[in-house]
Amino acid sequence: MENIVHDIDKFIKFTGFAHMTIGHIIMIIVGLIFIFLAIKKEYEPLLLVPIGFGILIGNMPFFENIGLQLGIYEEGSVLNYLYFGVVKGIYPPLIFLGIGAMTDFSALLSNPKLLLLGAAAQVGIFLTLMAALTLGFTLPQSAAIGIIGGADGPTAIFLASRLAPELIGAIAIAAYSYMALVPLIQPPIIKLLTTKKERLMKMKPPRSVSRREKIIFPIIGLLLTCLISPGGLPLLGMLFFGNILKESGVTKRLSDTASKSLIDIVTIILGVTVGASTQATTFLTPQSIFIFILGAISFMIATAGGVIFAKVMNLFLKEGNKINPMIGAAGVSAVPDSARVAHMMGQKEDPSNYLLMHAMAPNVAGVIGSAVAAGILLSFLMGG
Amino acid sequence: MDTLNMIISDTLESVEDTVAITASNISEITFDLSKLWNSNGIVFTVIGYSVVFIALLLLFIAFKSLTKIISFNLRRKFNKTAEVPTEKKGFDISGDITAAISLALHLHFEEIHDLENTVITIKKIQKTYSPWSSKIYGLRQNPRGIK
Repeated sequence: MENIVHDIDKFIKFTGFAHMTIGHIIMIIVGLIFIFLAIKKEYEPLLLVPIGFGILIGNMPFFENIGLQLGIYEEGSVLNYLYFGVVKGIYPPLIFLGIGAMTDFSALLSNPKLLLLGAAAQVGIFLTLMAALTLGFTLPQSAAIGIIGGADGPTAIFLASRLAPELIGAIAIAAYSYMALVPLIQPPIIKLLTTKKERLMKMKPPRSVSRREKIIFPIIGLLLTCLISPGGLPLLGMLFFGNILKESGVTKRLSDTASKSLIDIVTIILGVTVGASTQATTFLTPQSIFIFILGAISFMIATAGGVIFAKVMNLFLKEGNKINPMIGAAGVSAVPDSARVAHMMGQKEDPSNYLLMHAMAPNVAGVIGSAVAAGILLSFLMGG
Repeated sequence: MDTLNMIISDTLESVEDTVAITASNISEITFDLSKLWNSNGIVFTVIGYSVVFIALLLLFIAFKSLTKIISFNLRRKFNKTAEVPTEKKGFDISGDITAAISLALHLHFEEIHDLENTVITIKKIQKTYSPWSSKIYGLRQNPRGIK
């Protein structure tokens, strides 16, 4: 009888219930919210479903550190092997390869001045860096937190993996959460900073861009950005490489693989491992909460920076060339959601106003801008 | 029952521990403006942001002039051979037309259209030979005995 009781006791000790903490319950609820937002509200479902489910996987309690090799932080576990690509920053360049192969830079090439909006929106990164410093984070940690304002998940993971690996889970989750919540965060800020007249502004249709220009773009883009910011080479190199695969027109198979199968595979693994990295026992710390708050501030500043800069640019532009300031908000990367937000807001004011093409220009410029910023932060902080 | 009590007490302990750790860590995080100066945060921010801006400004200048360079070469080429027709000089397709052409091409290449393509797909089926299904003995053959 005693043996039976002992066995039952042992069995109970090995169940998840025995190791369940309040932290696990909180994180499971967070995971369920992510899945709900993805399925019901359709906020970035391709990211939120893997991340949300990853949170559930990562927060199934178990007997830790007794050699079962189950958890993401336990050496030798399957999840740990998959997480290696996040920790070492392997997945972000692969994602950038896919983004490059998917992105049409025509809108940007037809109106290159919109590149400056992508630069303006990076102000969020640097102001948040200063805010994080005042809160006691170290300079590398602050830089990794600030990059959340770039609204670019892969860039945030890449930089955090190099500068602050201990914060990578919180930074990745914050970056992807805010990317998914773009339709909620940006509209009030845009509305606050623009007048109705500005929101109704129509822009000149973009000119057609020749194939030659499209082929030259990734080459010049790579040379210029990587010579200035070599730290961003893994990201920018892959981005422009993916783009030349698309635009050359002679590597359709490679471009198709990069823009479909490859990016899908990497997104699945990245999403689920980033989600699983939020294991309550290591994730739920006050630092994580501060990172979330700072990330939100960074994102808001970046949005405001883009809109305000567009308004400033309008002061110097001729009547026919003026920019609808709403597209400045798309400078925060988050492709293509922030461009879609600007377009939808424009449509709400005037259904005949199509801003999507115009907003895509600062949007892709934001991708380049945040990668350049990441490169600069990396060069400054890792190079001593 | 004892086991259940043990689990509950363990859980409560872990909650207390979490709360205690959280409270102690929060008290460690303080707001201190002097850290901005001590760690060169402001200088770092100004330089970093300026470099990002310059990088994208250079890209802007490069692509602004790229269009001019390309069109300049074409113009020179045209000047050598013949006068460019006046309508061609201002040749510029509007965004609406580009969108319509792109859509048409997309539909064409993806074969998303309401007309079936003209390739008839007949599958060749191989059957093992049998005199029962042989055409040689079929009724359409004239029997040799009858003339």
